[in-house]
Amino acid sequence: MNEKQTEQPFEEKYNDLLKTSPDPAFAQIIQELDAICTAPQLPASVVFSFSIERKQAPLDSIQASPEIHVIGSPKSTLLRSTHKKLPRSVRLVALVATLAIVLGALSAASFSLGWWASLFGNPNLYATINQRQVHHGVTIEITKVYADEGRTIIAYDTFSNDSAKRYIPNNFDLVGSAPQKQETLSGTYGEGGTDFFYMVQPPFLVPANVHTLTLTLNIGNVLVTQSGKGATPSSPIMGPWHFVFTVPFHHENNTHIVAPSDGDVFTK
Amino acid sequence: MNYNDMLATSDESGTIQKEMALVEAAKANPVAFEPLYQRYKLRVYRYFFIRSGREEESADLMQQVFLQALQALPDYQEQGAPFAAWLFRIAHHLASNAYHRKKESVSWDFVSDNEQLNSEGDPETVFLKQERLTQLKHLLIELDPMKRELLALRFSAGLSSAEIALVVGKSQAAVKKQLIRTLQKLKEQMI
Repeated sequence: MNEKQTEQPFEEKYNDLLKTSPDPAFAQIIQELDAICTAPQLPASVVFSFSIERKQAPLDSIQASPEIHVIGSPKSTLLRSTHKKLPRSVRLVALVATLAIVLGALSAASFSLGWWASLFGNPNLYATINQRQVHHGVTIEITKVYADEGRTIIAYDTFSNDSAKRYIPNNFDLVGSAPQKQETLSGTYGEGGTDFFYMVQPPFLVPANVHTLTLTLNIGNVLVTQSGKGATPSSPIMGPWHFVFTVPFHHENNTHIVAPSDGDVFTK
Repeated sequence: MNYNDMLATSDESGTIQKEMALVEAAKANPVAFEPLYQRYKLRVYRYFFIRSGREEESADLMQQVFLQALQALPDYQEQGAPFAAWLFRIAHHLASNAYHRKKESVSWDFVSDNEQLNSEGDPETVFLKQERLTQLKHLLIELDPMKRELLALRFSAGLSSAEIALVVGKSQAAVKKQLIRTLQKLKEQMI
Protein backbone atom coordinates (compact mmCIF):
# COMPACT_ATOMS: atom_id res chain seq x y z
CA MET A 1 0.00 0.00 0.00
CA ASN A 2 2.64 2.44 0.94
CA GLU A 3 5.32 3.44 -1.49
CA LYS A 4 7.47 5.05 1.11
CA GLN A 5 11.03 3.86 1.25
CA THR A 6 12.92 5.59 3.98
CA GLU A 7 16.60 6.06 3.32
CA GLN A 8 19.04 6.14 6.20
CA PRO A 9 21.49 9.04 6.42
CA PHE A 10 24.68 8.22 4.56
CA GLU A 11 26.93 8.22 7.64
CA GLU A 12 24.57 5.94 9.51
CA LYS A 13 24.04 3.64 6.58
CA TYR A 14 27.73 2.99 6.04
CA ASN A 15 29.06 3.61 9.51
CA ASP A 16 30.66 0.16 9.70
CA LEU A 17 32.72 0.88 6.58
CA LEU A 18 33.41 4.56 7.11
CA LYS A 19 34.89 4.05 10.56
CA THR A 20 37.57 1.76 9.16
CA SER A 21 39.30 4.60 7.34
CA PRO A 22 39.49 8.35 7.92
CA ASP A 23 40.55 8.89 4.30
CA PRO A 24 38.05 11.16 2.47
CA ALA A 25 38.78 9.33 -0.76
CA PHE A 26 37.55 6.11 0.86
CA ALA A 27 34.31 7.81 1.89
CA GLN A 28 33.98 9.21 -1.61
CA ILE A 29 34.11 5.76 -3.17
CA ILE A 30 31.39 4.60 -0.81
CA GLN A 31 29.29 7.63 -1.67
CA GLU A 32 29.69 7.03 -5.38
CA LEU A 33 28.83 3.36 -5.10
CA ASP A 34 25.78 4.27 -3.09
CA ALA A 35 24.75 6.73 -5.79
CA ILE A 36 25.09 4.10 -8.49
CA CYS A 37 23.38 1.33 -6.58
CA THR A 38 20.42 3.29 -5.25
CA ALA A 39 19.63 5.02 -8.52
CA PRO A 40 17.33 2.36 -10.00
CA GLN A 41 13.67 2.85 -9.21
CA LEU A 42 10.85 0.39 -9.66
CA PRO A 43 9.14 0.89 -12.99
CA ALA A 44 5.73 2.45 -12.39
CA SER A 45 4.03 -0.49 -13.99
CA VAL A 46 5.47 -2.85 -11.40
CA VAL A 47 3.90 -1.08 -8.46
CA PHE A 48 0.81 -3.22 -8.81
CA SER A 49 -0.88 -0.64 -10.95
CA PHE A 50 -3.77 -2.94 -11.47
CA SER A 51 -6.22 -0.36 -12.65
CA ILE A 52 -3.92 1.25 -15.17
CA GLU A 53 -2.86 -2.09 -16.56
CA ARG A 54 -6.47 -3.11 -16.69
CA LYS A 55 -7.37 -0.07 -18.72
CA GLN A 56 -4.64 -0.83 -21.20
CA ALA A 57 -5.79 -4.38 -21.69
CA PRO A 58 -9.27 -5.02 -23.05
CA LEU A 59 -11.29 -7.27 -20.81
CA ASP A 60 -11.61 -10.11 -23.26
CA SER A 61 -7.90 -10.11 -24.03
CA ILE A 62 -6.99 -11.23 -20.53
CA GLN A 63 -7.27 -14.95 -20.49
CA ALA A 64 -6.24 -17.32 -17.79
CA SER A 65 -2.51 -17.55 -18.16
CA PRO A 66 -0.46 -20.74 -18.19
CA GLU A 67 1.76 -19.49 -15.42
CA ILE A 68 -1.12 -19.52 -13.00
CA HIS A 69 -0.96 -23.27 -13.00
CA VAL A 70 2.50 -23.45 -11.52
CA ILE A 71 1.91 -21.22 -8.52
CA GLY A 72 1.38 -24.09 -6.15
CA SER A 73 4.71 -25.60 -6.99
CA PRO A 74 7.71 -24.82 -4.83
CA LYS A 75 9.74 -24.68 -8.02
CA SER A 76 7.48 -22.09 -9.51
CA THR A 77 8.85 -20.26 -12.47
CA LEU A 78 6.10 -17.74 -12.45
CA LEU A 79 6.40 -15.06 -15.07
CA ARG A 80 9.90 -15.96 -16.09
CA SER A 81 8.60 -19.00 -17.86
CA THR A 82 6.27 -16.85 -19.88
CA HIS A 83 8.62 -13.97 -20.22
CA LYS A 84 8.25 -13.69 -23.94
CA LYS A 85 4.80 -15.12 -24.30
CA LEU A 86 2.61 -12.60 -22.59
CA PRO A 87 2.55 -8.83 -22.44
CA ARG A 88 3.46 -7.28 -19.13
CA SER A 89 -0.08 -6.10 -18.53
CA VAL A 90 -1.38 -9.64 -18.60
CA ARG A 91 1.41 -10.92 -16.41
CA LEU A 92 0.86 -8.21 -13.85
CA VAL A 93 -2.84 -8.92 -13.72
CA ALA A 94 -1.94 -12.56 -13.27
CA LEU A 95 0.49 -11.71 -10.52
CA VAL A 96 -2.05 -9.72 -8.58
CA ALA A 97 -4.53 -12.51 -8.95
CA THR A 98 -1.84 -14.96 -7.96
CA LEU A 99 -0.97 -13.09 -4.82
CA ALA A 100 -4.62 -13.12 -3.93
CA ILE A 101 -4.69 -16.85 -4.58
CA VAL A 102 -1.63 -17.57 -2.52
CA LEU A 103 -2.62 -15.30 0.29
CA GLY A 104 -6.10 -16.66 0.30
CA ALA A 105 -5.24 -20.30 0.01
CA LEU A 106 -2.58 -20.18 2.66
CA SER A 107 -4.94 -18.53 5.06
CA ALA A 108 -8.01 -20.51 4.24
CA ALA A 109 -9.10 -20.38 7.81
CA SER A 110 -12.69 -20.47 8.76
CA PHE A 111 -14.10 -17.07 8.13
CA SER A 112 -17.78 -16.67 8.16
CA LEU A 113 -20.19 -13.86 8.73
CA GLY A 114 -17.96 -12.11 11.21
CA TRP A 115 -15.28 -11.13 8.73
CA TRP A 116 -16.51 -7.72 7.88
CA ALA A 117 -16.13 -5.98 11.20
CA SER A 118 -12.47 -6.88 11.53
CA LEU A 119 -11.59 -5.42 8.16
CA PHE A 120 -12.99 -2.02 7.55
CA GLY A 121 -13.93 -0.69 10.95
CA ASN A 122 -17.23 1.07 10.66
CA PRO A 123 -19.33 -0.64 7.97
CA ASN A 124 -21.80 2.23 8.11
CA LEU A 125 -19.38 4.24 6.00
CA TYR A 126 -20.11 1.91 3.12
CA ALA A 127 -23.13 1.63 0.93
CA THR A 128 -24.70 -1.80 1.09
CA ILE A 129 -25.17 -3.21 -2.38
CA ASN A 130 -25.81 -6.95 -2.03
CA GLN A 131 -26.14 -7.39 -5.77
CA ARG A 132 -25.64 -10.90 -7.12
CA GLN A 133 -24.89 -12.35 -10.51
CA VAL A 134 -24.57 -16.04 -11.32
CA HIS A 135 -22.66 -17.58 -14.21
CA HIS A 136 -22.06 -21.31 -14.59
CA GLY A 137 -23.11 -21.83 -10.98
CA VAL A 138 -20.64 -19.30 -9.59
CA THR A 139 -22.13 -16.43 -7.67
CA ILE A 140 -20.40 -13.11 -7.22
CA GLU A 141 -22.04 -10.74 -4.82
CA ILE A 142 -21.05 -7.10 -4.49
CA THR A 143 -21.56 -6.46 -0.80
CA LYS A 144 -20.39 -2.99 0.13
CA VAL A 145 -18.89 -0.02 -1.65
CA TYR A 146 -17.28 3.18 -0.51
CA ALA A 147 -16.25 6.06 -2.77
CA ASP A 148 -14.66 9.35 -1.89
CA GLU A 149 -12.05 11.71 -3.28
CA GLY A 150 -9.22 9.44 -2.20
CA ARG A 151 -10.29 5.96 -3.21
CA THR A 152 -13.01 3.61 -4.38
CA ILE A 153 -13.39 0.41 -2.40
CA ILE A 154 -15.56 -2.47 -3.53
CA ALA A 155 -16.04 -5.53 -1.35
CA TYR A 156 -17.43 -8.68 -2.88
CA ASP A 157 -17.88 -12.39 -2.21
CA THR A 158 -17.56 -15.37 -4.53
CA PHE A 159 -19.13 -18.76 -3.90
CA SER A 160 -21.07 -21.69 -5.38
CA ASN A 161 -22.97 -24.73 -4.15
CA ASP A 162 -19.72 -26.65 -4.10
CA SER A 163 -18.24 -25.53 -0.80
CA ALA A 164 -14.95 -27.28 -1.59
CA LYS A 165 -14.25 -24.89 -4.43
CA ARG A 166 -13.12 -21.34 -4.21
CA TYR A 167 -13.28 -18.73 -6.91
CA ILE A 168 -10.78 -15.98 -7.51
CA PRO A 169 -11.68 -13.16 -9.86
CA ASN A 170 -9.04 -13.03 -12.56
CA ASN A 171 -9.78 -9.70 -14.17
CA PHE A 172 -12.29 -6.95 -14.06
CA ASP A 173 -13.27 -3.69 -15.65
CA LEU A 174 -14.64 -0.78 -13.66
CA VAL A 175 -16.23 2.25 -15.25
CA GLY A 176 -17.83 5.16 -13.44
CA SER A 177 -20.29 7.87 -14.33
CA ALA A 178 -17.41 10.32 -13.83
CA PRO A 179 -13.84 10.01 -15.11
CA GLN A 180 -11.43 8.10 -12.96
CA LYS A 181 -8.24 9.59 -11.63
CA GLN A 182 -5.17 8.05 -13.23
CA GLU A 183 -2.93 6.94 -10.42
CA THR A 184 -1.40 3.82 -9.02
CA LEU A 185 -3.53 3.33 -5.94
CA SER A 186 -5.05 -0.03 -6.54
CA GLY A 187 -4.99 -3.72 -5.97
CA THR A 188 -7.28 -6.59 -5.29
CA TYR A 189 -7.00 -8.72 -2.24
CA GLY A 190 -8.36 -11.91 -0.83
CA GLU A 191 -9.03 -11.62 2.84
CA GLY A 192 -9.14 -14.45 5.34
CA GLY A 193 -10.06 -17.04 2.78
CA THR A 194 -10.56 -16.91 -0.90
CA ASP A 195 -14.27 -16.17 -0.63
CA PHE A 196 -14.00 -12.55 0.36
CA PHE A 197 -12.34 -9.91 -1.68
CA TYR A 198 -12.04 -6.21 -1.85
CA MET A 199 -10.57 -4.03 -4.51
CA VAL A 200 -9.14 -0.61 -3.95
CA GLN A 201 -9.30 1.61 -6.98
CA PRO A 202 -8.41 5.21 -7.69
CA PRO A 203 -11.13 7.76 -7.02
CA PHE A 204 -13.57 9.10 -9.55
CA LEU A 205 -13.57 12.80 -10.27
CA VAL A 206 -17.13 13.57 -9.32
CA PRO A 207 -18.15 17.24 -9.65
CA ALA A 208 -18.74 19.04 -6.36
CA ASN A 209 -22.47 19.43 -7.00
CA VAL A 210 -22.96 15.72 -7.66
CA HIS A 211 -23.32 13.41 -4.70
CA THR A 212 -23.73 9.99 -6.24
CA LEU A 213 -21.54 7.80 -8.42
CA THR A 214 -22.80 5.09 -10.71
CA LEU A 215 -20.35 2.28 -11.24
CA THR A 216 -20.35 -0.48 -13.82
CA LEU A 217 -18.27 -3.47 -12.87
CA ASN A 218 -17.59 -6.40 -15.16
CA ILE A 219 -15.67 -9.33 -13.75
CA GLY A 220 -14.44 -11.20 -16.79
CA ASN A 221 -13.60 -14.62 -15.43
CA VAL A 222 -12.76 -16.40 -12.22
CA LEU A 223 -10.12 -19.00 -11.46
CA VAL A 224 -11.15 -22.07 -9.52
CA THR A 225 -9.20 -23.61 -6.67
CA GLN A 226 -10.01 -26.66 -4.59
CA SER A 227 -9.98 -26.26 -0.82
CA GLY A 228 -7.12 -28.11 0.81
CA LYS A 229 -5.28 -28.64 -2.45
CA GLY A 230 -3.02 -25.67 -2.35
CA ALA A 231 -3.16 -22.67 -4.53
CA THR A 232 -3.14 -24.27 -7.93
CA PRO A 233 -6.16 -23.09 -9.85
CA SER A 234 -7.86 -24.94 -12.65
CA SER A 235 -9.21 -23.48 -15.85
CA PRO A 236 -11.14 -20.27 -15.54
CA ILE A 237 -14.89 -19.94 -15.56
CA MET A 238 -15.89 -17.28 -17.99
CA GLY A 239 -18.30 -14.47 -17.21
CA PRO A 240 -18.77 -11.68 -17.35
CA TRP A 241 -20.47 -10.99 -14.07
CA HIS A 242 -22.01 -7.64 -14.77
CA PHE A 243 -23.02 -5.13 -12.10
CA VAL A 244 -24.35 -1.61 -12.18
CA PHE A 245 -24.90 0.23 -8.91
CA THR A 246 -25.09 3.74 -7.62
CA VAL A 247 -23.45 4.76 -4.37
CA PRO A 248 -23.11 7.98 -2.41
CA PHE A 249 -19.99 9.89 -3.29
CA HIS A 250 -18.25 11.47 -0.32
CA HIS A 251 -16.60 14.77 -1.14
CA GLU A 252 -13.75 14.23 1.29
CA ASN A 253 -10.56 12.23 1.56
CA ASN A 254 -11.41 9.97 4.46
CA THR A 255 -8.22 8.71 6.00
CA HIS A 256 -10.14 6.71 8.60
CA ILE A 257 -10.69 4.07 5.97
CA VAL A 258 -8.02 1.48 6.63
CA ALA A 259 -6.53 -1.25 4.50
CA PRO A 260 -7.81 -4.64 5.58
CA SER A 261 -4.47 -6.23 4.87
CA ASP A 262 -2.24 -4.16 7.09
CA GLY A 263 -4.29 -1.58 8.87
CA ASP A 264 -2.55 1.28 7.10
CA VAL A 265 -4.70 4.21 6.21
CA PHE A 266 -5.29 4.67 2.54
CA THR A 267 -3.16 7.72 2.22
CA LYS A 268 -1.19 8.50 -0.82
CA MET B 1 27.20 -15.87 14.60
CA ASN B 2 23.52 -16.59 15.07
CA TYR B 3 20.61 -14.21 14.93
CA ASN B 4 20.51 -13.60 18.67
CA ASP B 5 24.16 -12.53 18.60
CA MET B 6 23.32 -10.14 15.83
CA LEU B 7 20.42 -8.72 17.79
CA ALA B 8 22.64 -8.13 20.77
CA THR B 9 25.12 -6.16 18.71
CA SER B 10 22.75 -4.38 16.41
CA ASP B 11 21.78 -0.77 16.89
CA GLU B 12 18.62 -1.62 15.09
CA SER B 13 17.43 -4.38 17.37
CA GLY B 14 14.19 -2.53 17.94
CA THR B 15 13.58 -2.33 14.22
CA ILE B 16 14.43 -5.99 13.79
CA GLN B 17 12.08 -6.95 16.58
CA LYS B 18 9.31 -4.95 14.97
CA GLU B 19 10.06 -6.72 11.75
CA MET B 20 9.84 -10.06 13.48
CA ALA B 21 6.40 -9.05 14.65
CA LEU B 22 5.48 -8.44 11.01
CA VAL B 23 6.92 -11.81 10.05
CA GLU B 24 4.98 -13.57 12.79
CA ALA B 25 1.83 -11.78 11.72
CA ALA B 26 2.42 -12.89 8.15
CA LYS B 27 2.99 -16.47 9.28
CA ALA B 28 -0.29 -16.42 11.14
CA ASN B 29 -2.13 -14.75 8.30
CA PRO B 30 -0.33 -14.45 4.97
CA VAL B 31 -2.49 -11.51 4.02
CA ALA B 32 -0.31 -9.57 6.45
CA PHE B 33 2.71 -10.22 4.22
CA GLU B 34 2.12 -7.01 2.35
CA PRO B 35 4.02 -4.69 4.73
CA LEU B 36 7.10 -6.86 4.31
CA TYR B 37 6.69 -6.75 0.57
CA GLN B 38 6.39 -2.99 0.67
CA ARG B 39 9.46 -2.70 2.87
CA TYR B 40 11.74 -4.82 0.69
CA LYS B 41 10.49 -4.59 -2.86
CA LEU B 42 12.74 -1.74 -3.92
CA ARG B 43 15.85 -3.26 -2.36
CA VAL B 44 15.19 -6.60 -4.00
CA TYR B 45 14.52 -4.93 -7.33
CA ARG B 46 17.72 -2.88 -7.14
CA TYR B 47 19.70 -5.97 -6.26
CA PHE B 48 18.57 -7.64 -9.47
CA PHE B 49 18.62 -4.53 -11.61
CA ILE B 50 22.17 -3.62 -10.66
CA ARG B 51 23.20 -7.05 -11.88
CA SER B 52 21.43 -7.11 -15.22
CA GLY B 53 20.26 -3.61 -16.05
CA ARG B 54 17.03 -5.05 -17.43
CA GLU B 55 13.85 -3.66 -15.92
CA GLU B 56 11.46 -6.39 -16.89
CA GLU B 57 13.73 -9.26 -15.93
CA SER B 58 14.53 -7.62 -12.62
CA ALA B 59 10.86 -7.08 -11.89
CA ASP B 60 10.07 -10.69 -12.73
CA LEU B 61 12.84 -11.98 -10.50
CA MET B 62 11.71 -9.67 -7.73
CA GLN B 63 8.23 -11.10 -7.97
CA GLN B 64 9.57 -14.62 -7.88
CA VAL B 65 11.48 -13.81 -4.71
CA PHE B 66 8.35 -12.68 -2.94
CA LEU B 67 6.27 -15.58 -4.15
CA GLN B 68 8.91 -18.04 -3.01
CA ALA B 69 9.23 -16.20 0.28
CA LEU B 70 5.51 -16.34 0.79
CA GLN B 71 5.45 -20.06 0.15
CA ALA B 72 8.40 -20.72 2.44
CA LEU B 73 7.40 -18.34 5.19
CA PRO B 74 5.83 -21.00 7.44
CA ASP B 75 9.22 -22.69 7.63
CA TYR B 76 11.12 -19.52 8.45
CA GLN B 77 12.75 -19.60 11.88
CA GLU B 78 13.91 -16.33 13.34
CA GLN B 79 16.87 -18.00 15.03
CA GLY B 80 18.25 -18.99 11.67
CA ALA B 81 18.65 -15.58 10.08
CA PRO B 82 17.04 -12.19 10.20
CA PHE B 83 14.30 -11.78 7.66
CA ALA B 84 16.37 -9.56 5.35
CA ALA B 85 19.12 -12.15 5.11
CA TRP B 86 16.60 -14.94 4.62
CA LEU B 87 14.86 -13.00 1.85
CA PHE B 88 18.07 -12.13 0.06
CA ARG B 89 19.26 -15.69 0.32
CA ILE B 90 16.30 -16.52 -1.90
CA ALA B 91 17.23 -13.62 -4.17
CA HIS B 92 20.88 -14.67 -4.23
CA HIS B 93 19.97 -18.20 -5.32
CA LEU B 94 17.57 -16.95 -7.95
CA ALA B 95 20.18 -14.55 -9.29
CA SER B 96 22.87 -17.21 -9.31
CA ASN B 97 20.66 -19.55 -11.28
CA ALA B 98 19.35 -16.91 -13.66
CA TYR B 99 22.64 -15.25 -14.48
CA HIS B 100 24.75 -18.39 -14.38
CA ARG B 101 22.45 -20.02 -16.91
CA LYS B 102 22.76 -17.05 -19.19
CA LYS B 103 26.50 -16.84 -18.60
CA GLU B 104 26.21 -13.11 -18.25
CA SER B 105 28.29 -10.97 -16.04
CA VAL B 106 27.25 -8.08 -13.92
CA SER B 107 26.85 -4.92 -15.88
CA TRP B 108 26.94 -1.50 -14.35
CA ASP B 109 26.75 0.30 -17.67
CA PHE B 110 23.03 0.75 -17.72
CA VAL B 111 22.83 3.42 -15.07
CA SER B 112 22.77 6.65 -16.94
CA ASP B 113 25.00 9.39 -15.76
CA ASN B 114 22.03 11.57 -15.03
CA GLU B 115 20.66 9.02 -12.61
CA GLN B 116 23.80 8.39 -10.72
CA LEU B 117 24.33 11.68 -9.02
CA ASN B 118 22.39 14.82 -8.60
CA SER B 119 23.72 17.31 -11.06
CA GLU B 120 24.65 19.83 -8.45
CA GLY B 121 27.36 22.41 -8.86
CA ASP B 122 28.87 24.04 -11.87
CA PRO B 123 29.15 22.22 -15.18
CA GLU B 124 32.82 21.39 -14.60
CA THR B 125 32.06 19.76 -11.25
CA VAL B 126 29.22 17.78 -12.77
CA PHE B 127 31.47 16.69 -15.60
CA LEU B 128 34.19 15.56 -13.20
CA LYS B 129 31.66 13.64 -11.11
CA GLN B 130 30.39 11.86 -14.17
CA GLU B 131 33.89 11.10 -15.32
CA ARG B 132 34.63 9.49 -11.96
CA LEU B 133 31.46 7.44 -12.14
CA THR B 134 32.30 6.25 -15.61
CA GLN B 135 35.73 5.23 -14.39
CA LEU B 136 34.22 3.52 -11.36
CA LYS B 137 31.82 1.55 -13.53
CA HIS B 138 34.69 0.28 -15.64
CA LEU B 139 36.51 -0.85 -12.53
CA LEU B 140 33.41 -2.59 -11.25
CA ILE B 141 32.99 -4.50 -14.48
CA GLU B 142 36.50 -5.85 -14.10
CA LEU B 143 35.96 -6.98 -10.53
CA ASP B 144 35.85 -10.60 -9.49
CA PRO B 145 32.17 -11.75 -9.54
CA MET B 146 32.16 -12.58 -5.85
CA LYS B 147 33.39 -9.12 -4.97
CA ARG B 148 30.75 -7.58 -7.16
CA GLU B 149 28.14 -9.73 -5.49
CA LEU B 150 29.24 -8.46 -2.08
CA LEU B 151 28.99 -4.88 -3.32
CA ALA B 152 25.53 -5.53 -4.75
CA LEU B 153 24.36 -7.02 -1.47
CA ARG B 154 25.88 -4.18 0.54
CA PHE B 155 24.99 -1.20 -1.61
CA SER B 156 21.91 -2.23 -3.61
CA ALA B 157 20.28 -4.61 -1.17
CA GLY B 158 21.40 -2.54 1.79
CA LEU B 159 22.43 -5.52 3.89
CA SER B 160 24.90 -5.33 6.76
CA SER B 161 28.05 -7.40 6.74
CA ALA B 162 26.45 -9.81 9.19
CA GLU B 163 23.44 -10.26 6.95
CA ILE B 164 25.59 -10.69 3.85
CA ALA B 165 27.54 -13.35 5.69
CA LEU B 166 24.35 -15.32 6.19
CA VAL B 167 23.41 -14.91 2.54
CA VAL B 168 26.72 -16.04 1.03
CA GLY B 169 27.69 -18.52 3.74
CA LYS B 170 30.83 -16.83 4.98
CA SER B 171 31.78 -15.34 8.31
CA GLN B 172 30.90 -11.76 9.07
CA ALA B 173 34.57 -10.93 9.58
CA ALA B 174 35.48 -12.37 6.20
CA VAL B 175 32.72 -10.45 4.46
CA LYS B 176 33.65 -7.17 6.09
CA LYS B 177 37.32 -7.70 5.38
CA GLN B 178 36.59 -8.46 1.74
CA LEU B 179 34.34 -5.43 1.39
CA ILE B 180 36.93 -3.09 2.87
CA ARG B 181 39.68 -4.55 0.73
CA THR B 182 37.56 -4.14 -2.39
CA LEU B 183 36.71 -0.56 -1.53
CA GLN B 184 40.33 0.26 -0.76
CA LYS B 185 41.39 -1.24 -4.04
CA LEU B 186 38.80 0.77 -5.93
CA LYS B 187 39.91 3.90 -4.12
CA GLU B 188 43.52 3.33 -5.12
CA GLN B 189 42.54 2.68 -8.73
CA MET B 190 40.44 5.83 -8.86
CA ILE B 191 43.23 8.15 -7.78
